[in-house]
This record gives sequence, structure tokens and C-alpha cells, in this order.
Amino acid sequence: MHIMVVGLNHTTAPVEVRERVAISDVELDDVLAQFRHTRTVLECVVLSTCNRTELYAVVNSERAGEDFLVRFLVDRAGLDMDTLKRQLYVKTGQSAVTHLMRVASGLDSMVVGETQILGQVRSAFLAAADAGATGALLNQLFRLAVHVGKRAQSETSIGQHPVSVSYAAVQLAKKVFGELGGRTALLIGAGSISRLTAQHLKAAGIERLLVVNRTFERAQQLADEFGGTAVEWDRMVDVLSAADIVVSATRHPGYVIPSTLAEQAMLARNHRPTMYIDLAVPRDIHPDAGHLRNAYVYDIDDLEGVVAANLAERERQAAIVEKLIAASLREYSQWLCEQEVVPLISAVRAKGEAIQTSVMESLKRKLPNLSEREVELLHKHTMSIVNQLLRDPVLAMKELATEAGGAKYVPLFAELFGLTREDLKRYSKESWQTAGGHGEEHVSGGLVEIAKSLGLLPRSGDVGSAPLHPVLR
Amino acid sequence: MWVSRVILDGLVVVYALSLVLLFIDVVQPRRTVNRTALVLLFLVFVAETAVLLVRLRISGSVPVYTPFDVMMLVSWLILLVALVVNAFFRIDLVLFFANTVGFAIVVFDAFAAPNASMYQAREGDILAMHIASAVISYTAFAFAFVFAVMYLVQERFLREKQWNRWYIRLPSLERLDTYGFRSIVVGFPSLLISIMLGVIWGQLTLHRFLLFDPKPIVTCGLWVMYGIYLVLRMRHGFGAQRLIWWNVVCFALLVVNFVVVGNFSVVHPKF
Repeated sequence: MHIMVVGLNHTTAPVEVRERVAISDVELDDVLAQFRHTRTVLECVVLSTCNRTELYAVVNSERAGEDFLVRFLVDRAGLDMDTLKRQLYVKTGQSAVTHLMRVASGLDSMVVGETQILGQVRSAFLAAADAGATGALLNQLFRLAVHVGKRAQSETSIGQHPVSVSYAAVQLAKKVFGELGGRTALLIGAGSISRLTAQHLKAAGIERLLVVNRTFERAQQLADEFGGTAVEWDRMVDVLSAADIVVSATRHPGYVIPSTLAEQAMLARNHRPTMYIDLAVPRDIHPDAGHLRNAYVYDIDDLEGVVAANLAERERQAAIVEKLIAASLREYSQWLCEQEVVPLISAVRAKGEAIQTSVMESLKRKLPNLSEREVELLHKHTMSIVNQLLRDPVLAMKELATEAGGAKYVPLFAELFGLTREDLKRYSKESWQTAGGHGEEHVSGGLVEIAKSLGLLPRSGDVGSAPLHPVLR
Repeated sequence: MWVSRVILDGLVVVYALSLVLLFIDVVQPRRTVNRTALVLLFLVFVAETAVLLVRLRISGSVPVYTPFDVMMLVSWLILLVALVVNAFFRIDLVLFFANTVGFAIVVFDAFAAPNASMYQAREGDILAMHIASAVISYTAFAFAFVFAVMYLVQERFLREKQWNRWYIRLPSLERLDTYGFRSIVVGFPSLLISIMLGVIWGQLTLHRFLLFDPKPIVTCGLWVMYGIYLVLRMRHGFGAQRLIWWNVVCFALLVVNFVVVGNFSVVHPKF
């Protein structure tokens, strides 16, 4: 059995391809049903957003699974196999699991650390679970991935460090004004930089947006686009004092805001804090304006500095998230290993209970005059013997499974307790293993032969260095 | 007595260690360092509570009747509020800045004032209430001071364009200004209540109004100064940097009033 992801995202495929393979909510149920009715795919979750379409699946055979999933995407895209394959990624085992966790944490997003993707991962999983397309493996995996995503959001500030200059300008404004609701911003210039800044200011909740441009029509156009107000160039002096944040990005050869004008504006607004952000080269705002009380003036170099600091901080936060992911991967591996011994533990317990039942039957036959209370007491105590006897071996089974990274020692224990393969199979009905097995052959043969394999056992107690479960290798 | 001495010395050491760790956490953040600092701060809180309980047991009344107890109570309240604010409101770095003040109080308390004189005429609970409301107002003003310092630090980084980790973690100027204002909104009426209760106590014990005692005079002056802050802050809104400095001056005067002016007072205990 193998966990794999086949998909494409904004880094591997252009939007023309992404929109072709994207799976809408309307189609989702049909697609999941299609996967459910194949023998190749045992479990499946479809994650389709504007930036990515990914098929997470548990498959019987790696090659058959890959062929099937790639073929599915090729058919949707309507492209030839080779063309699409160049834009696809196929990841299996550990790589697929880590990829999902990175996606859920926002590390794989276009805007690193964005939080929307976590909701999309959760919805994709719930949709698949509701459609009956998931099983124990993907259920646990997505639960862990969502948990990692939540921790990344709550324990780090991965998404709070913008690395574009215009976004950094807004972040800088927030460092002075806090939330931007109730504030007024004045954009001088109506070019692409101003548009981008307007976008970020609007997203940050700016209340009033004023746009000034030499060509009034262009100012009007930009203002209309973001629900702002266009102001004629000649009236800039009048509105300057109304603005808490002034962003200038023109191609004007001289200073658009000389320091005297900034001084007038500051006087008119009673020296309330004002941020002047100069995104133009040559500069629009005279640097001396920065000496005025409560005036904060930043030029493009200052913003580059903010971006550099943010980049360093983001890298640091990303490293923390990567550690969270590594821990979750280990946790998932441990869970998989424990699942391997579930049938064994069930079989051992059943055998213990069967022995206890037969002893009780025998006692009842030999001591027919026992009262109901005495029978109850005997039952309780014989059961206690069974439980106490099995407690340590059961713990050892779990530990060995975790340390050995799989079911290598299941036959050894089965042999020790006199359990046959049939016994184990009987208790595997509820387990994910019945769907296909993970491909690793169990050691078989006599107890002596199995015991020989103990030499391969990693040092006990060192769970951190234990190999990953075969499904993840 | 030696038990509280050991606890006191121990808590000074642990407090210092936690502050060092909080500082390291800003410069080179690591989760384990942060967690350890928090655990140590919690230990300090437990130790301070223990000291106050020991004092309660020894004196048989609420521990507010000596300058030592008052300062311990102020530092205990600062630590408690800082821990709660850190847990529920997530104002970054407030733990570090507030506990720098809290630590300074504890050190001064542990090594300068433990053997100070004790109030005698208690007049029921009036004296305790007078001191308790004063403690609340001192704590609130201490937080106003802490936010003012954080504001000035952040303002300096923004003006000098230093995009370091302190800048990244410190809250916005507007937030810090608002927190400072709110702290004073809490401290201002508390101080008024304390003054009124003090006057009533004077009337009951000395049968006269304490008009010419230096401490009530300076305290009333302080109260007026904080009142001026509130009026101007409400009129100008956020961003009046002179008011931030005014806030700092007010707190400095409050410390002088408590430590120095109290020594010239007839009715207040001396250090």
C-alpha cells in the first residue's frame, strides 16, 4: 500500500492548464465516486483551489496508481501525456505526506503563510470523507495535516512578514497606526505601483482612499476600481492635510512634496502622525519632511530594508514550521506502526479471554455449588490474571512496532503466543492492512529464525532515530 | 523569618534569570527559551505569593501595612497582570518590559526596605483600603509607564529605520498609546479613592485634615498631572508624543513621591 499525491500548482503549471484540470465543487462528488469504484485507488482526497489541483490517494500499487491518476488529469486537461507530465509532480510516501503538511501550513502557497489554504484542505478532506472516499490512513493523515496547519498559524507568525515593497509599506503604516480602519490614505500617481498599493491598503481595511494624478482620468479610473475618490492635481495641497498615509509613486523629476508643503500639511492637521511613503525614483518627497514632529518618511531603500528583515524573519518562522512537520511525520509513522500490531494485540487478548472463559466453565462444572457472587469474584480475578499477564507484552508489541518501523516482529509475537496467520487475519478485518498490505514481507519460519532477525533491531528507547513505517519510505 | 529571606533571595535570582531568558528570546528567539522564561516567571509569581502569605501569617492581617509589603504587592500585581495580558491579549514584549519594572521593585524591596516601620492606627479597614487602592493605582501607572517606554522604543526604531527583531515584535504606536491611556484611566480614579480614604483616615485618627503634609500634597499634584494627561489625550487623540513624555515624568514623580517624599511625611512610614 502506498500514499501518493499527483498534482500541479502555480509554480509548475500556468493558469491555462490549472483552470482545465481544476475540479469544481459540483463535479467533486462524481470524481470521488469515480475513484471509489476503481481497484487501484483505495482512498482519495481531491484538493482543488485556484493555485493547485492535487489528488491525494492511497493506492495498491505505486506504478498502477500513478498511471491511473496521471491519466485522469491528462484526460481533464485535454493535453498529451508528455506535455502535462512536465507540469505535474508525483510524490509518494514520506515526500507526499510532507508535501500535504507543507501545503496545509501555507509553506507551499504563492503568498507564504496565507491561512486560506488550511480551510481549503479541511474542506477537501471533509468532502472526501462524506463521500466515503477516505479510510483510516487518509483520515489520520489529514487530521494531522490540519493540526500542523493550525499550529503553524497559532505558534508562528509565518504569514505576517510581507516581502513585496508595496505590501511592506502597508505593514509599516500598521506599525504606526495599528489597524487602518478609520484612516485616510492619499495615493499620488496612478500607475501600477499605486494600483498594487491601493490593493494592499484596501485589503488592510483603509477607510478612505484619495487618488491624485496629473491626468485626472487615470486617477478617476484607479479611484473607481477601489471605491476611492479622485482629486485634481491642483487640489493636492488641500487634501494632503487630510491624509494619515501618503504614498507617492510618480515619474515627476523633482520633489512633488517639498518639505515646506509637508510642514504646512502637518501644521494644518495639528501634527497628528502622518506617514509619507515614497516609492518613486527620483524621489517625490523631500527627505527633510522626516524631521517634522510626528512625520514618518520612508523611501524605496527603507522599504527594501523592511523587506529584507521580513525575509529573514519568514525564513526563521519557516524553519519552525518545518520542525513541526517533521514531528508530525514521525507521529504519523508511529501511528501506522501501532496499527500494524492492532490485529496481533486483538488476537492475543482474544486468546487470553478464551482461556479465561474455558477455565471458568471448567470451574463451574467442578464446583457446581458456587453462588452467583462467588462466580462473579472468580471471573473478576481470573480476568485480572489475564490482563496483568498481557499488559507488558502488549506494551512491548507497540514499542517494538514503533522502533522497528513496521510489523517486522508481529510473526515473532504471534509465534510466542501460538497464534496462526488465520488468527491474525480474523482480527485484521477492521484494519487498513486488509486493503492490501504495505508490501513488506513478514518474516516467516520458526521462532529461532525469527529471533535471529532481532539483531537488526535498532537501539531500544531511541524512538527519534527509528525508521519510518514502510508506507512512508 | 529566615524562610522568607531565602524565598526572597531565591526569587530575585530566578526573576533575573527569567528576564535574561526573555531578552535572549527577543534577540535569538527559541521556543524552549521562551517557555523556560515563562515557567521561571510563574515560579517567581508563586514565590511572591508565598512571601505575601508568610507576611500575612506573621502579621495576622493583610500584608499592606509596611512599605515592604506595599512594594511586594505592587510587583506581584504587575507580574500577575503581565502574565494574564501575555496569555489572553498577546501584546508582544509586554512581559519583558513590565517585568523589568517588576524586577526593579523586587530588588529594591528585597535589599532596601524590609525593616521599615509599620502603620499602627488602622481604623478598621479604612487604612487597608487606602493602601490597596493606592497599590492598584501604582500598578496601573506602572503599566502606563511601561507602555510609554515601549512606545518611545518603537518610535525610535521607526524614526531611525532600524528593522530589527524589537521593531518586528513591538506593537504599533497607536496600540501602545491606547494601552497607556487605558492604564491611566484605571489608575486615575483609584488614586482619587486612595486620597479620599487617606483624608478620612486622617480625620478619624488625628481629627484634622492633613493639608500641609508633603505626601498628600505631592500626591494631589500627581493626580492633577495625570488628569491633565487624560484631558489632553482625549482632546488630541493618538500621537501626541509630548504626552508620552509627560506620562514618563508623572511616573518618575510617583516613584519620588513614594520613596523620598514619604520620608518627610508625618503620617506615612519611612524607609
